[in-house]
Amino acid sequence: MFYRLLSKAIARRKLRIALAVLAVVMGASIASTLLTVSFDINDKMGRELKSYGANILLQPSSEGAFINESELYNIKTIFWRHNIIGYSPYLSDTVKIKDTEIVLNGAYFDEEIRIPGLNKTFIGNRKAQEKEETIRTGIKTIAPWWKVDGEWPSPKEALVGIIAAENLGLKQGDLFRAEFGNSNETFKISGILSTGGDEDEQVTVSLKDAQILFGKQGMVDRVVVSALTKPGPVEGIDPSRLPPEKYEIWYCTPYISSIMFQIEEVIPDASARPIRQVADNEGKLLKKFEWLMFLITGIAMTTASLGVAAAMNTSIFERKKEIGLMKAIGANGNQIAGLFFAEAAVTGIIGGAIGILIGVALARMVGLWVFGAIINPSLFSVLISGILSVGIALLGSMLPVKKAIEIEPSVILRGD
Amino acid sequence: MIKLFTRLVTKSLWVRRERLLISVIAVMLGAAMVTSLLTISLDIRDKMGNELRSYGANLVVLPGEGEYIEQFNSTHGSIIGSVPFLYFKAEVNSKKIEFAGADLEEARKMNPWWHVEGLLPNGEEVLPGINAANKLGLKAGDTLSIGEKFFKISGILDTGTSDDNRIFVPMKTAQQISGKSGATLVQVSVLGDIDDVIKYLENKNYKVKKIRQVADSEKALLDKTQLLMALVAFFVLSAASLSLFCTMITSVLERSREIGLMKALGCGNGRLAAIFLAEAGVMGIAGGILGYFVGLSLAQFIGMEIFDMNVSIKPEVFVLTLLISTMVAAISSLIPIRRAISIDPVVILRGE
Repeated sequence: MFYRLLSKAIARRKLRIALAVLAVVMGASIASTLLTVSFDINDKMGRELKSYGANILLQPSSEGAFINESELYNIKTIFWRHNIIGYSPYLSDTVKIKDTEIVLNGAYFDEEIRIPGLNKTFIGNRKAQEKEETIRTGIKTIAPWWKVDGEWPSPKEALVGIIAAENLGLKQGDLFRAEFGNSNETFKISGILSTGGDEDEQVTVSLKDAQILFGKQGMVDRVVVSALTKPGPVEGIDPSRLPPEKYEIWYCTPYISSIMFQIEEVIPDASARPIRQVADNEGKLLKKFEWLMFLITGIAMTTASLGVAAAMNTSIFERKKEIGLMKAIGANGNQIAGLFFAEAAVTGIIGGAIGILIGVALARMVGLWVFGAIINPSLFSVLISGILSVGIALLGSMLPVKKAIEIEPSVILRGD
Repeated sequence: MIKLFTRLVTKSLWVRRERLLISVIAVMLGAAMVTSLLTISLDIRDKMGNELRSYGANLVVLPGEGEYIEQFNSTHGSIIGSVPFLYFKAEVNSKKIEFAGADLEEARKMNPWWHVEGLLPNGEEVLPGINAANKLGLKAGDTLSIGEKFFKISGILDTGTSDDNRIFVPMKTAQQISGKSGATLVQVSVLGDIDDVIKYLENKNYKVKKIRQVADSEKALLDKTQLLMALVAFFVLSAASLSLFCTMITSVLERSREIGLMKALGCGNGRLAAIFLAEAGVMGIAGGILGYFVGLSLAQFIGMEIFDMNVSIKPEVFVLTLLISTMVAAISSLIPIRRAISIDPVVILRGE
């Protein structure tokens, strides 16, 4: 009887129900779009902020020492290895070109690195098994703002900073000789570099060439690492002082401090420091972005909820007569309330399901359009939107249902 | 005739005030969302740009002729800060070290990520970068000699950038040690159209370098943020319009009896439509105005909460909000009105 009443009530009032469902669809799709984007904004914006360059600097732990180039692949084997966007080692010293003292850097431009297979157990019995892979990393990845007029260098070629080129009277295609102590090397200028930074006054060659010139094969004097991090404590963390549970949580959260700690674990002769210009701002900005998105989501969801509530309100309000009739032929308050709540629940479920599907599609679109990467829906945002649409539909019916139950059949049925 | 029309509209609005309230609230909520999001998305470039300025200078100004900039004064509206630096090399413990003189208070304001372990230098004090300090084996409180003079180390600077290799001193001290006046370069912080500022400075005969790490990233980031906000505003706008649409349709549909009666009494289709449209217009305007102020306070709240700043109030947002709410209210009444006027009064008035 109840089901027949319910399905009849829905079938007979197709247009009205469609409108209520539409309201719920709108609400649910806004909620799920914005929630999905909000939950992912940290990751997406974090990646965008990576265009400011590396946020971690590795230096030899003791003055005058060097880091072994062959150990560097270990950076990609730490617990948060997937958060390491890239790294580039440097080896710099002062050389003489045309009797002028100038800094010459060796660096990776776009180097292929082999990462051996990984079979490791991290803290808390978290197992990691990965196949051998090769990655490409270097300046092109971590310093995308480097502007090269000409070509990126091959072996025995060099990038000359725009100011250095002017001072030395060099241009693309020229040859120059760099002297370091007793050794010297001739480089061909493949391009002129402009960054607006110190590199403008320097010369940059491939790491291998620099190592040969300086006689320091396999050694580097600093490494910059670009890592995706979560805003959080940058300093003042002493891992050895943390209680075990806190230590595990800290270790397994991609804070910059824990990533630096993990890098130091695998490269013991290096000490890591945050590059504050990038690291400090990143955390601050990400927090703001997250806040902004959540506030907007909150506003949009409140409004959407009120819209759904209004639609439910209308749908019950206009059926006063029907309710009066039901009461007159003997329905009690609970039966009527049950019928309306069931109707609201059906509206909420159907509207919510359609809305969430639309929302997921919209969130993907936003991701592709704005960030050039798909935003995948999180279970959490789908769940919240689902609960919200059914919950609000029920909640929005509460007041009018209460009013409906109090209707005096004789007053209503007498006519308007 | 006009009088009757106004009376009809006001009467019908008054009699159905409870139902009406729901419609006006629906319009208001939609308008509030639209207002707050439009206000924020129109202002986001400015606000976010301001936040991104904490990455430090995005332009470096070099002397056009000669080696030094004696006096840097610029009055371009987009320049929000400038700090002259005097770079020079001097020997410390027979090691060649690069020095930088500047108003260090100002420099730290422009580069808020500067992390000073200790204090900024005053008078006869210096602030070495952490790499320079390690190289010379110095720590805060030590003294170092440059030429014949002695300087106390007030603190150690840690930035993670190449500034760590330099020793920072107050501008006056720098000019004394080096015997030079003026600056070798000026760091400039630009909020707004950077290319315009570059042109302006080049016209003043300076050599200008864009700090690409900051300037290029900033532009890309602001473009994306703006696009994101515009998309969100667009979604919310269409959703708000649709939910308003639902409310208006319901409000006309439930009055089919009334329409039947009016038709039976001899009301023409045109007049009928005019009455309903006028009602929708009144609701749209009332809801739109109310919603604008609600939305504005929401936007203001977000601005204060996130950026610690008021959002700028733009008159075009008010016009746009009012236009949208009135138009949507009117258009969404048109469809049910068309249905309503095709009603046969006999069928409707006969009962259900």
